[in-house]
Amino acid sequence: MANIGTTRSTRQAAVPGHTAAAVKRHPSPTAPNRTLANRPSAAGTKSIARTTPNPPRGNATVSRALAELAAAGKLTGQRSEKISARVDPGVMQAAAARLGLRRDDVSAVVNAALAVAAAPDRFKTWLRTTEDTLPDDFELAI
Amino acid sequence: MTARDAALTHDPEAHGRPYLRRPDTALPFDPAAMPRGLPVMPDTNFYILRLRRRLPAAILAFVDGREVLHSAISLSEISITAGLLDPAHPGTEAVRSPLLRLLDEIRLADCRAPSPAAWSEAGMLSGILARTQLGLARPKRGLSAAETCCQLGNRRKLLNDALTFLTAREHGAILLSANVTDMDLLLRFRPDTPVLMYRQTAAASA
Repeated sequence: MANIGTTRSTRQAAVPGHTAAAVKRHPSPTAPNRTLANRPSAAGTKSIARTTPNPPRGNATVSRALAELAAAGKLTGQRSEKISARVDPGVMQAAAARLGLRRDDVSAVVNAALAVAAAPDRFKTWLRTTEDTLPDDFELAI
Repeated sequence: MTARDAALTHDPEAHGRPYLRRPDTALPFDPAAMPRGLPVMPDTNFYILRLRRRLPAAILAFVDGREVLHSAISLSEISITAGLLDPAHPGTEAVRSPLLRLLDEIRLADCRAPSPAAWSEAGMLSGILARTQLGLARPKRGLSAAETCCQLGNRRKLLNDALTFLTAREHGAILLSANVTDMDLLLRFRPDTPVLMYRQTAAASA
């Protein structure tokens, strides 16, 4: 799995962000296998996640969300807004685990969770904007 | 619960006569009447109609305000079509590429497959409908080879319709379908399933 860029042509998918069309692709022999066991260390994740254009490496869903937000011009590249909120610690723990982040790296967890929540739905974008067409005599195979 | 229990959600002994088609006024065509907060699940034709510019604007607007779940049955119907196209045919690229680009926009995390119980129920349901509604229970010995194939294919289409219908039901999604005839029938068996019907537009609209 390569790092995910901010353009459509560089999008890659890992298991959490798999697309229907990508299932049959053969994995690159050079692609690192991202599992819970070999995710980058929390320290590495934290340093990468300090600036929003560089996605945290542990989770493809977060990476894709940040890439799509960047493509939509939504990111500022700065973590300048300080917020204070009360959250269920169980939710915080579960979110950190799901996102592949350390529970005590609150900023990284909140940024990643907000990015996933805010990212545009690619299918809806396709639905609104696709210029693709099928011929009138097109028929499904079944 | 056993597979028999799931299949016998619908007793085949209780269904011997065809249902009459209900008028549109008795069917769920009104987006405003749909329950709030539920996700939507398009059937296969929804995607194809979008690519043919035949989806009504009201349906597009309805989908835009909801979470979208995708049926694994629909994905298989799209991907089998892409796989079936002859690579050597000059027209293949123009058809296969749009289908693959569509699949590329669908995250598997947003897809839902029917459970084993739904498969069992869908089999019984489509068997009953094939027999009572569509005349698809003719003995093989009385059919030509082509008719036998046709009957098998039509049963399979009905099974896929039932699977898609029950997948949406299992996942609490509103099924979007322009297949009014079959959805009318399926709703006879599971009237609590949220379905939003629509008719494709005659001219390019989306």
